[in-house]
Amino acid sequence: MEYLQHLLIMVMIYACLTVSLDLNIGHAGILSFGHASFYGIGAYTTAILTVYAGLDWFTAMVLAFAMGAFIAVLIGLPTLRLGGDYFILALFGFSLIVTSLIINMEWLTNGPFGIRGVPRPSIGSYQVQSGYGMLGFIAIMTAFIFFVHWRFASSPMKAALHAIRDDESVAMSLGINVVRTKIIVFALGGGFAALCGAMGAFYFRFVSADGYGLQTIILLWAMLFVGGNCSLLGAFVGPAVLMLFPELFRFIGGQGWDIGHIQEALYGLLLILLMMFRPQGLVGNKVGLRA
Amino acid sequence: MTAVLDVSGISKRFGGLAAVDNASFTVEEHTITSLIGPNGAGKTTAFNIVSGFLKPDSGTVTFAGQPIEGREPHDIYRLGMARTFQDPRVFQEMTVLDNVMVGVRQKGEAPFWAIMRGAKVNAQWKAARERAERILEDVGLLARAKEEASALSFGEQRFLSIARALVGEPRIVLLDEPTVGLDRSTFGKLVELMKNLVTKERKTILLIEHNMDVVMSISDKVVLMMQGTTVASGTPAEVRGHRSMVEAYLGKRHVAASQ
Amino acid sequence: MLLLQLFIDGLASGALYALTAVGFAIIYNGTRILHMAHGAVFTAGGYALYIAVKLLHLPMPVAVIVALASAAAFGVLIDLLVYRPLRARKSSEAALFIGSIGALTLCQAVFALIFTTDTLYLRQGPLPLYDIGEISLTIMHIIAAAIVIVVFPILHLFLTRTKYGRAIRALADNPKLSVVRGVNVERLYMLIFAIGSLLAGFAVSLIAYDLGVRPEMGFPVMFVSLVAVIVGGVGYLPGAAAGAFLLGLLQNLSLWQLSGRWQDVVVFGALLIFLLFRPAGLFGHMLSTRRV
Ligand SMILES: Nc1ncnc2c1ncn2[C@@H]1O[C@H](COP(=O)(O)OP(=O)(O)OP(=O)(O)O)[C@@H](O)[C@H]1O
Ligand SMILES: [Mg+2]
Repeated sequence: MEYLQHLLIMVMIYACLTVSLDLNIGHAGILSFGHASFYGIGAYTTAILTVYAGLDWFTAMVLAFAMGAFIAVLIGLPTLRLGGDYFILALFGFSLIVTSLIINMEWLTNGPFGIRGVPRPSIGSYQVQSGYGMLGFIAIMTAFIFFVHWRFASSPMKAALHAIRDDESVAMSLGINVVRTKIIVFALGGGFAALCGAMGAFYFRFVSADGYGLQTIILLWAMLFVGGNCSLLGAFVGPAVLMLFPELFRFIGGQGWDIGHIQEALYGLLLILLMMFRPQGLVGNKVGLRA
Repeated sequence: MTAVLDVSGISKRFGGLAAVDNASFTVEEHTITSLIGPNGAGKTTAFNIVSGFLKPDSGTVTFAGQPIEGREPHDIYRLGMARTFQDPRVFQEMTVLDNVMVGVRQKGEAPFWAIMRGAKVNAQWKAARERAERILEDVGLLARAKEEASALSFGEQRFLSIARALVGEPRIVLLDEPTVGLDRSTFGKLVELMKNLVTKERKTILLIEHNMDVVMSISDKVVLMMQGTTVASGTPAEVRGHRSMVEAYLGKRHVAASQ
Repeated sequence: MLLLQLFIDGLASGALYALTAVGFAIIYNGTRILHMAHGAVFTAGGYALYIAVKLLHLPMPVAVIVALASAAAFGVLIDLLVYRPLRARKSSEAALFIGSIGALTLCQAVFALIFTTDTLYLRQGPLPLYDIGEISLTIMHIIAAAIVIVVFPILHLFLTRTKYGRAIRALADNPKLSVVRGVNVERLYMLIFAIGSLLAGFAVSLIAYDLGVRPEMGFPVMFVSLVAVIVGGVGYLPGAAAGAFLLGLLQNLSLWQLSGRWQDVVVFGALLIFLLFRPAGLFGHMLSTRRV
């Protein structure tokens, strides 16, 4: 039972990451390679503020969101206007720098050892302790994040974003401030990814340098494209499918196998095959990666 | 009549090529002004400068009394100037209605208001939809509002792109060769639409057009561009008789006919 | 003296980066694909060398030729199996890029499954040093210099004097063409991938011999190459080479003041600074990003 709880919590955290990545990639066409870094920035901000600075969980979580958004603006301002391949590359570099800084800035991040003892959230005198309590907390956060993204995708904001994604010049010609809108959306993506980082920190009570690098980026992209662009349902389906995959291996008795690398090979293969045969993902809309 | 748009001495070079070279013209309110000239004369480049997509090397553009040269395209749109492109460039995967609604700027686009909504935001959104539907009706596409834009024919996409430019209630619209690729019946519809825009809706149109019959029949004023420079302007009759006109069109045609 | 030694080391790693960077740039200029799987091609060359030397016991020169041929073939294979089907579907550049990321991930994982994540060494012990004044060179420095001095002029002649070379350059100027100077573009793509991958093969042969082979060894090299292409200016091959030397020097000279663990930050810091202040690169070449 405990294991099922863990699985559900992980699917929800990844679903939240996927839906915020979808806001960038699916809706706005911003191919962000920094998403895992913002996730890490959120986790570390939460850990540092609660463990070292002694702030309460809620303030730390809000500040984690703000930090993710702020750094996204900082990195987005010079790079988003460059567009295309330059942006992809800059974000790639950014994610490597973030990983490197987390490991090397020992005075702040405790280096490779990570930070332990992140407190669990509490409301009034009620302290979330049990697995069920945590499941409830993550479920509430997930509901909130999905609600916000549903609001985005069912408002005039969606049309403006899709216009930018499909043809920036036409979007400009219709009065949309393309650069500003992209920066705002990128900041939101960064903020929500950081919020997911806070959720993860509360759940694991511990943050460490691995888990926010290239492998996580690939995993998130695979989750997004398996589920499909511009789809709230897809943001659940992708993580659910990919999280259940290792369980399948356990089930068919592949104990001695190098599951980590089999998984990675599968993600790579999935990305290729999806682009070839089903760019809209399993349940996504036809929109997204246009021809 | 007052000039709502005053383009004065604009130039733009691409490398060694002077695409626009000291071009000047004015557009009076509630009229149709046609910009004509042979291929490569610099008409589209002039449009791009006026609508903010290119910064001129020199010269000024004044719209409704304000200098706008070098300002961003989205700012210029908000001042009341919309444009179309030489290709329709509709958003293929959006519905026809959504395509038009992209042209409406509203509060609900800001993430905060997208989440919070509220009466005013919803009312604005509803009004936007109604206006988009009205304009689709004007261009004869209302019945297809729910379809994906990619399902439309080329001609219909052209009308959609014009509807999209009109939905923000601009004072002036710049249309780049809107009749190209239309068949005879839709062609007539477009000419009718442009006339109505000026007479009924009190809009102003700046038009790039190659079809001389259209130019001569609907324009209040014609501006002839050659090799980046405006060489003649006046009523259709005046420009038709201008000797540069003979050089630009008839001359070529004569040469072509005699070959 | 240390600084001079670091400078020489920087030139040597710059030479290796230059080979991969120019290979990457040839592919990027001709196809506009952000070919992340170049890193996998690089690693494939390394494992080919390992197999040739350690398992087939081929003499070194033959083994290197096997490695070069394998790298070239691997690059062409990725084009045929991944990019060509995507082009046939008229996929977007984003889809091609994602396909490329997928290929990189898949290959790295498969290498790890076959060869494990351990480093496989081709030789033991330190390389002999040749002391010249206060600096010491290894055979690697010398071979790196020799390869660059021989390969780049040949590449230049090929691109400027031969029919296919000129077609490749014409394609770089106008990637939308489908037939260039009488050559079908799909055929030309195969050639482009073969040449670009071959250049990576030279670099990896040296690195694999010197430092051994690991599944993810291609990634950092590919990435520095990518940065070199940006720093040197997109679309201009000597620029990519210059960018590579600059980064090689920067990486090694930074060791003078900083410990090696800051190298990523140094390289990508350089990238971000360039993007910030001079996105067109050292020589002012840039893809136009706004189309009207
Ligand atoms: N972005 C650009 N870069 C370089 N040259 C350009 C650019 N845009 C236009 N030109 C050149 O400037 C000249 C004028 O082009 P423009 O498109 O303004 O002509 P036009 O009058 O609209 O022609 P047409 O009737 O064919 O549409 C042409 O020679 C064209 O090749
Ligand atoms: Mg034109």
